[in-house]
Amino acid sequence: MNSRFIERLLQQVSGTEAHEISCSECFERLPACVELELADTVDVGTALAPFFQHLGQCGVCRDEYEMLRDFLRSQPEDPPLAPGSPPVSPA
Amino acid sequence: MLVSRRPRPHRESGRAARYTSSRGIPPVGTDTLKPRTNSEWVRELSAGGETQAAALEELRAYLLRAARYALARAHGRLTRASAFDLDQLAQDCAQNALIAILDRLADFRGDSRFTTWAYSFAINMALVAARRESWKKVSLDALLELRGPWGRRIESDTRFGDPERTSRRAEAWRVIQEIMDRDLSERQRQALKVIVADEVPLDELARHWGSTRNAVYKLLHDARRKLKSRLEARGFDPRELLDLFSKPT
Repeated sequence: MNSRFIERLLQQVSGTEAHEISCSECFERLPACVELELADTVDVGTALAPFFQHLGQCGVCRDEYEMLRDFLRSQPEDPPLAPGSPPVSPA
Repeated sequence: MLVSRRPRPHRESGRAARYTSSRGIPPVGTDTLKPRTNSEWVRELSAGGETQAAALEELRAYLLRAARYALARAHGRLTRASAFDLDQLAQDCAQNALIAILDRLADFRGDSRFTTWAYSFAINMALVAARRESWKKVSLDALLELRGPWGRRIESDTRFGDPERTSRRAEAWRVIQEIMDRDLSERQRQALKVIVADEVPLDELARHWGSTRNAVYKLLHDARRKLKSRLEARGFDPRELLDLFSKPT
């Protein structure tokens, strides 16, 4: 236990917003947000601010986001988006 | 454990039962999977007979791939990970993810690929299981104990380097402690202590308390909001305090 705890606490406190999405809302938005980041067509930090704000506060949701993103990156053989699938849009 | 709901058998028990009975079939290789549109996935998973059985078997192959990836990565990264059968765990996670997906098929909005949506369930299951394995030998009751030296240790850690900075740090920490003691509930202090200081995963604390991830997150959010507003009311800017503690002395 050291001042690293205070630093982490203050990081979280200073990044606190009046309204934050829940872990369930984060999970619902996760697939579309990861695809948007991988598509690299929008500034996801701005377009998906509430989602990323939640990730900044919640280590387990952040882990799941990073794991899904890294997994998709590692799967170049994944079939492309099949015809008829709708375009991805910010959640 | 999913974020909002625990996986449970599908309401149409025949569907899950049919799938469960096929677990002995060797898994389909992901290189031979049939590409499907989102609507084809939903339609075929909802259909009966051989069409549904084929879609279920192929979806399970996708889920198993994601679960294996997540468990292998988590196993290497989690310092407290015990030796456990990764492959068996991956099979279980894929199966639980499949049941959860069938249960929530109507919730799929189509704003991502179906497979990405499905992977999110497998990865959630795998990381929840990995965290459970990693923390199962740790006594959360002991960590939740707020009495003891943890506060004093932090205070002593502020005493080094530049005397003026040390003095400002000590004052800031005294105010933070005061707010935590006076304005936060015991439950909020416990949650902050174990999640921020001890780095216990939020879902592990939720499991220990018989609560949910959403409820523990809200508890922490309320605590953070209170800390922030009380600090500001006393003239402290949390970002300036962060600089005070994060920059080297």
